[in-house]
Amino acid sequence: MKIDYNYIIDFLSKKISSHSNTPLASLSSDVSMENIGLSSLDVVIISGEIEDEFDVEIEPSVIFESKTINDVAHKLLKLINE
Amino acid sequence: MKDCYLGLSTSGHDPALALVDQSGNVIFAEATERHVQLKRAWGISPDHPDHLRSLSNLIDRKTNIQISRTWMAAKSLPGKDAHENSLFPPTDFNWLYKHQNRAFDDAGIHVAQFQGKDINKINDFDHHLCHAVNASYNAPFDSGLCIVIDGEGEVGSLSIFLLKNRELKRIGRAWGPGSFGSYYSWLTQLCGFDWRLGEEWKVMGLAAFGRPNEEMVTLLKKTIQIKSGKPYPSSQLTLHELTLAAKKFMRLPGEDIMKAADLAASGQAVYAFWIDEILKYCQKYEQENLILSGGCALNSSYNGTIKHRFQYKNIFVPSAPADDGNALGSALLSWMKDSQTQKIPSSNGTPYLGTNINNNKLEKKISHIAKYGGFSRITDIGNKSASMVAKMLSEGKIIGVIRGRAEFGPRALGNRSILADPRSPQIKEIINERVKGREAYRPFAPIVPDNRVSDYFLNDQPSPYMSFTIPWKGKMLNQIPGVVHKDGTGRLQTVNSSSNPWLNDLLLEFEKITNTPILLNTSFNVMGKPIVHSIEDAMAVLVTTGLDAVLIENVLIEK
Repeated sequence: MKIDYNYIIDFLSKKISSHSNTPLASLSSDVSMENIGLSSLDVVIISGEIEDEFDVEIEPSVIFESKTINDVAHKLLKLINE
Repeated sequence: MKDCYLGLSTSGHDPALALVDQSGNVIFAEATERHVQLKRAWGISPDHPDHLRSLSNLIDRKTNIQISRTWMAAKSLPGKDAHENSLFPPTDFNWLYKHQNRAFDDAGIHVAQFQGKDINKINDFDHHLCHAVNASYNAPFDSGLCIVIDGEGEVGSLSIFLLKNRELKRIGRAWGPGSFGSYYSWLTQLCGFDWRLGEEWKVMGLAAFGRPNEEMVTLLKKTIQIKSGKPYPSSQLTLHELTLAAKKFMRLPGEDIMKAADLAASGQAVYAFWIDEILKYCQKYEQENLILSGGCALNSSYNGTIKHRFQYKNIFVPSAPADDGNALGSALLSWMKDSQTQKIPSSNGTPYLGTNINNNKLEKKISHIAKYGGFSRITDIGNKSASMVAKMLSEGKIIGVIRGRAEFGPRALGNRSILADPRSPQIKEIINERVKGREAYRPFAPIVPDNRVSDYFLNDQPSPYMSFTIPWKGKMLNQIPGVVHKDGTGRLQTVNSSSNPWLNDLLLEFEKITNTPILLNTSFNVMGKPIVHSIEDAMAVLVTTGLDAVLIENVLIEK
């Protein structure tokens, strides 16, 4: 399985859509995380799902301090490639 | 390398300190509660100034000390919505977090004052990693599965590690507030006990008197869901409903304790159901050795059910699996960092890592007691102490023992213990009522030579730190009722001539007189107080309770 930027965006979008009950089609990777409607519990659960999917350990701040899905994907890709 | 590595448990509860030398040996480890004589020592610094000064034989003003903490950072105070997924009210939530913040931020200030100089930059380590390293250091094998279960780490209440050739790698962790530790604390409160005082023991003991009730079990199971071997909280609305529904089963403090027996049994059954789910999930790692750590590893009732139901050949729980033990884990991690190694050093497994009562003040203190204490007899019984104490115990005496170094962890393992003859049908009631001042139903633990376990118990497994409660063979209730719990089990402590020579001798001497190599062991304290730390603490218990005598090293003090 090749993990690249697009794969990560696809994974994150599906998870965020599922947790926030937002239609996948309406989620843009540059939309502000604040406006998606995720609760703090949603964010921690998604963080765990990211760790399981990509076999990395992430800091809570990776998601909490990211402004957009794009931001998260970039940080994650960097972490995976380290 | 530094001269020594000082690990400080910085959770805000159960503070402790541990010292590791330049070779990676743990030279001291002790919970702060022992020194300050305050149960769980909430809010007290792990580098308490007097506790530090009591270590003057190990560290002084010139020692180059490397301090480490047991968290990566001070926890961010929870957001306004955080408690909505917790079983606890926001006031408790904030209280816990602020305690952690203070302990973390203040760590080392007393070391700086003690040494009169700035401290080295502090090392910070992942909370669950500290639990795992502490446990792996003491484990009698180099590889296996290590599961950490507690109230909360950096991101959740569960971490799963693989230990391979003494190197740890985390292979999974849970995120979020689905917490087994919080659940058990909440259950403790529902049963009318106080989780702040660590009264989870009382729930475990009480469970044997009840039966799981289907309605309660169904309700309690809804507080946490297990998916792919990890705990998740219920949705906010459901959790709120659950909390309200559970109130109808609640026992208020002061009400008849047995009112909560079915609730305790139901709660313990639900805890067992969840941990079973995790162990089943972990079978895919195909390990023959299992290590459990974190505060939940103190659930000896559950631990004792694992071996005969799962594939593990060896199961190990360290003497201090809860947050006090993290001081040791963090000191070792600090040493490993400076040594540029990933390999965890190994130990001989001794839990006797605390303060030594046999110090240069002992003789003077005993002379003082002899002169002014008003006791009927004070005798140095020398190398006959095991045989003389065995004889007195066989005659029904209840004796407090304070010898050598204190145990690291919550259990008295013979060096700070009250011992008695388990054959007496009345001994439980006598000790609970006259000595400990605690509830009549509370059980007592047996000490058994490790090569005799299979003579008395259905399952044969080592249990050097009382970590496993296992079923006795059929007729033991009649032979040694003092250490058989209501459900026919005993929280076993195994010893041998290496682990505690004097205690092993005592069992053999007791067997010569009674044909029973088993003694009743309970912690040397009264209810609500930590285990005795000083000779004065021990004397206070002797004169204020129905204890018959105290053995200090080989000096017997009788009323």
